Amino acid sequence: MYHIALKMLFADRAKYIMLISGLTFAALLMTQQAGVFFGILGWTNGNLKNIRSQIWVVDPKVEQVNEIKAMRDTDVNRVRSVPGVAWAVPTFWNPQQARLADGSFKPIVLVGLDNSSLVGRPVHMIAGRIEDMRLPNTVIIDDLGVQRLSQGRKKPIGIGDTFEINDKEARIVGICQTEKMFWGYPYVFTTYDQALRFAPKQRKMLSFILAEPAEGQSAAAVAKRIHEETGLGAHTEEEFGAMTVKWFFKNTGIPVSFATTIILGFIVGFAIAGQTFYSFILENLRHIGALKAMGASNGLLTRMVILQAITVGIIGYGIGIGLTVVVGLAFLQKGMPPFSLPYEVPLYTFFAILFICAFAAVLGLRKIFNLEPAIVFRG
Amino acid sequence: MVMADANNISTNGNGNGNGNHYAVHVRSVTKTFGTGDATIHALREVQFDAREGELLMIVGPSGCGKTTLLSVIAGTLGFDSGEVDVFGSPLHSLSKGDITDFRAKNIGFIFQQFHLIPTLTNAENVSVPLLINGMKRAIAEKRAHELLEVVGLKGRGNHLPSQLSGGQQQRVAIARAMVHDPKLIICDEPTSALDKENGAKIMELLSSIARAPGRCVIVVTHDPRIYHFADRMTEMEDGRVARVHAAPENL
Ligand SMILES: Nc1ncnc2c1ncn2[C@@H]1O[C@H](COP(=O)(O)OP(=O)(O)OP(=O)(O)O)[C@@H](O)[C@H]1O
Ligand SMILES: [Mg+2]
Repeated sequence: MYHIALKMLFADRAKYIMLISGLTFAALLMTQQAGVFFGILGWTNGNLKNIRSQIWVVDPKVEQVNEIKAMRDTDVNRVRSVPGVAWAVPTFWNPQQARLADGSFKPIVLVGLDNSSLVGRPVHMIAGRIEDMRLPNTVIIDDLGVQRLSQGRKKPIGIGDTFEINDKEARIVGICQTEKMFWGYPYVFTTYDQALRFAPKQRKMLSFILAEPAEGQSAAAVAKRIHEETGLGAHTEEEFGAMTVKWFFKNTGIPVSFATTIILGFIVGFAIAGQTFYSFILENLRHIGALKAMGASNGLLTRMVILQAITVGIIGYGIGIGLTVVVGLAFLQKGMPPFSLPYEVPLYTFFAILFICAFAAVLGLRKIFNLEPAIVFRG
Repeated sequence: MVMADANNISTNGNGNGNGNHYAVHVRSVTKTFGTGDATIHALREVQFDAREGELLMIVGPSGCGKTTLLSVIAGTLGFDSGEVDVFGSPLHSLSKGDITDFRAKNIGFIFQQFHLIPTLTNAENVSVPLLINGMKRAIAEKRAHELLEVVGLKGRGNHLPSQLSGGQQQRVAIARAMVHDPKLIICDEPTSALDKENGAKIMELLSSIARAPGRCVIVVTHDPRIYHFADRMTEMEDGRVARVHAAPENL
């Protein structure tokens, strides 16, 4: 009987297409929007992925990683003197304007790393050597920087080329690869001392202190101690990431607006698919009544309806996810908007679609259970 | 010749209808619809029998309870009181699930409106009772094609019902009603949607099925053009069996 159930489903072209469209729409909207949302969340933590350190020490008022409140240079020594701290180094981190070959300006994030240790250095080098950034007036730019800073050049900008930061010439000695950060600016890495020269003079220029716990000590415990003894904000990498995500949830409308769109996708898919499936059952009620009269049990009819519901569910889900992947790859290719699809997204979307189908099936089955087979003798 | 009333037959039988004499044995069946002032007495203490090997017609004015009685016999409608025996199955004491199973195995249905599923081919439609009984698709469809040949529709198995005339569609329905070899075939107004010629063809098929040993065909009809196909005729009036005619010519 199952092939009969499928044939009845596929034969009703209009409803079948409507069902698939509704479910595809729901699956696409839910996963695609969730993908962009997680992409943005990933961006918010971009800094943590590009500058690796077990402990981040910041001004106590700082709530998230994209926020800078400069500290005093002496704070580095205060942190170093906390028991359990293996080492602590100053880091500069600040958006600046880069002047390009054609005279135009582009925003960048200038990162100054501790001169001797280069802690927080780029994770992946594409070309050049990190150590070369110790040479006078040199910088390492990232892959995004190659795109952005090449404006006005015949060939893409590369090692040996120069541009200006605040009227001071910066020579490129390496290219690295980074993850996008929330503002979408390219990173320009140099040493701490050179960064202070590139940036305009200010009273306090220390953005944050990167530290590591001594052997055998946990980062969380040491961070806690740093905070207790210095009064500064001290967070492990994970804590700082979680704080950042929390901050975005609390202070921006971004999560709410994405959640709204995702819920809307669910509701619209739910309404379209539920309604269409119900009317599909209603329209076939005469035939189902005849099957019932001919001895088809409620159990058999239930299995047939569930098969129909699951079939449209899986097809709709499949197409929806397929389209999401296509759209997502296009986004990633372009780099805009951000996109990231943790496996939970398609998984939960699958459950959502399954829920829609189950609901639709239950609606139809209620009708079928209450159907008296005797109706087949009525005109 | 008029056989007085329906009770006449039961005195010849073994009383509870599970002998080989009776195909259907209905005793004092009552069925009402609705409650209070709106109560409709569709069947009032109905006594009714059908014998093996006969084509029995049920006639009577509109609303007298013919379809209701047919539904009760087919096991598609429950009743308030009384006993219904169909080829030895006591429907009054079977559970709902057992009655469903009983219908699947023992009853063939022919409806006024054919009730073929329009999106299935004729052969698929005919195979449905076999599939419900758990037969494999390939065997069921092969058998369906054979049955279509029996009803004169050779080569039309892969067509859709809509590609056939009304008379041909009803023959598909007959093939479907007999494909699983049911003992009892139930027909409600099988010819009222057909012209005289097609109606006669349908009835010829049905009477040949009824003649087979251990079979019975019950036909509810308004159509005087087919009365002469009946072996016996039960006449209903206002929810009761009023008369049983041994020979339709006497009506
Ligand atoms: N499901 C139902 N609900 C309420 N009343 C019903 C129902 N089914 C039948 N009846 C009533 O029971 C009575 C007998 O109906 P039934 O359909 O058996 O008559 P019939 O002899 O088949 O009539 P017709 O020749 O017009 O088909 C009628 O008064 C009808 O209105
Ligand atoms: Mg009727």
